[in-house]
Amino acid sequence: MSTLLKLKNLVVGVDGREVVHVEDFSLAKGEVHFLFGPNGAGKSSLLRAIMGLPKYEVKKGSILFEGEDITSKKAYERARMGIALAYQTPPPLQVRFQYVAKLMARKYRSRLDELSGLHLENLLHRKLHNGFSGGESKRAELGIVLLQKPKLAMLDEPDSGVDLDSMELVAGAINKLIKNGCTVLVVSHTGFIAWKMKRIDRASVMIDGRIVYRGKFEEVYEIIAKEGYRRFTT
Amino acid sequence: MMDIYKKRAQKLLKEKGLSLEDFDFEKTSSVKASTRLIEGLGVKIEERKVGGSYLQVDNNVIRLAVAKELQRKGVILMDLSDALKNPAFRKFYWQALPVDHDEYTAAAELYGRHGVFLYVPKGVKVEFPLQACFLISSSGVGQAVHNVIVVDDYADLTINTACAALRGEVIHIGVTEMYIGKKASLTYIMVHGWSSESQVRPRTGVVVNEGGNLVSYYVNMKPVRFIEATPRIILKRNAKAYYSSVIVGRDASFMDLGVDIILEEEGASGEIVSRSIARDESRIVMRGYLRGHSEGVRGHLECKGLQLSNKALIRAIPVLESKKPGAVLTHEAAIGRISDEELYYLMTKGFDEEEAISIIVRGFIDVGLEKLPKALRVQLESIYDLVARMATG
Repeated sequence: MSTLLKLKNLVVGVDGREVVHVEDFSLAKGEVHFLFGPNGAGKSSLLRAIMGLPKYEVKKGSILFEGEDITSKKAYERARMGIALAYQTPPPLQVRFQYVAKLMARKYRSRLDELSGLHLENLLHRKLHNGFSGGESKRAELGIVLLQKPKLAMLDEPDSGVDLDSMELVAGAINKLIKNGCTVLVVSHTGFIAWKMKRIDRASVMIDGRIVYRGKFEEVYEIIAKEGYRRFTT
Repeated sequence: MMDIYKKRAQKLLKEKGLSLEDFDFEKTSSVKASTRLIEGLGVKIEERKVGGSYLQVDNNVIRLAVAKELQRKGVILMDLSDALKNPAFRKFYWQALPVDHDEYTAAAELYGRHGVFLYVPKGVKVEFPLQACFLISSSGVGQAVHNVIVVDDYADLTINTACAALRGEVIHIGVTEMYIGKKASLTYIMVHGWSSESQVRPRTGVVVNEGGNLVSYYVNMKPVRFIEATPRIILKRNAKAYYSSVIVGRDASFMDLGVDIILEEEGASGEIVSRSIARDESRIVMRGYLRGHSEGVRGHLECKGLQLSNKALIRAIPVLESKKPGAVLTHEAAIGRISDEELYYLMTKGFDEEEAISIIVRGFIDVGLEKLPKALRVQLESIYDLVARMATG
């Protein structure tokens, strides 16, 4: 399979502090990848740097997407190329969800029906992420990702602070992405969502900004379930 | 009797040493381009689904029509100069606002040629909105209009108004008097789109009688050289007013806009909601006055400004005044900028900076539309979409 995303000697700095050092990391087209790591390991920072958020500055190295160096591209350009990020904690907006959803559908030539499996009907008239519960925000983010029809979907902790009903809906949306052939990179420190996912190909473990282990998902999960992150920190 | 007003107007102008004769109040011109301009403000000039319409270009009345069904119910839409011939209508003239309120009301009396007189009889509910458009089509034109709107007791009316100038140096003075009868209701939408050389001085007086209700939306979205207007609304016993305004300051516009609600009698309540967006080198003054002149009145004022340029200026002047104990008056005012967090969030969803700002502005101005019936809500929503684009494009 061909490579969709490739990170080469990537160093990411936030507020003058280097938080991510990834020498070599790649995702194949259609791959479903799980990135584990304790809180503060730099997982979210890595996703945000790939997405191109200005605060997450690439100090060294490069990010290649479909073979093209996108390191200096702006976030909206990356999004339009097919990279999507579902935020762990999105900021509250003043604008109604419906308005954003319509604009997204227009921009990405997708249909609002994409949202139908996420039970978002009661949220659409509300201001996006404004007073949403944890589960509501995750569902809304997944809905927005679906509207983007991305090639790469990066999901930041889709299972944290989520009630069981929302978990089912979120997993349903992830499975839809997988079914559509989208490359999926899930960040999680618990791995709860994994059991609802149709398929996971590989997993990596990030500690202190570095990827310290890679393997098959089941293998990595078993180690973490048994020993936590101890084995990787020593 | 009518001469009294002329004399009072002349006296005031003389005292101030003023003359407005520099402006040509006689000029006439074409309609087509003006119609396009009005439609560009989101107001459709069409016959269908409209209870009646009034179109004035410069100082000529181009269209004056009221639906047959409404005529049968006694709804009257006529040129003000004709209406004043009838003593029953004349009694409303210069009663919501004194003729010598200032030099602009005086000028309207002395130089005004036309305006609308609209009367909705007791108990008549006008289902479709009436529309009125005032246009200035060429440079050097002064337009002075005087409109009188009477919604009699228990009646119900919605009006869409658009005022615009095509180009050039123009002056518009618009006097509007509105009388809302006992338990009557008026919904009033006003959209302004002037040219960057326009000087605009609307003067509005409203009296809402016992148990009556005024719901008003004002939108100003195009550059203007100067606009200054603070409508005065007087609320009688148990009367209510909701006044919302959305203002976009562009280029070097100077906009001094607000509203003055006088809660004159017991049980009156008023709410003011305003949103201003300042870009380029614009200067915006947002005024809001809530005056509690009786016991048991309530009022709330909320004004928010969003600054998009470091050369622009927003000044919020919220004023609460109480003359009697037991008046409950509150306000909140805030001026801020766009948060980076919101901006970047939208940019990661594929919107460039301009698009993201426009979305944020759309959210910022999205208030109070739930008070409107669906058709009007949809119309105002599309106007607000336009405002959001104007804030960046």
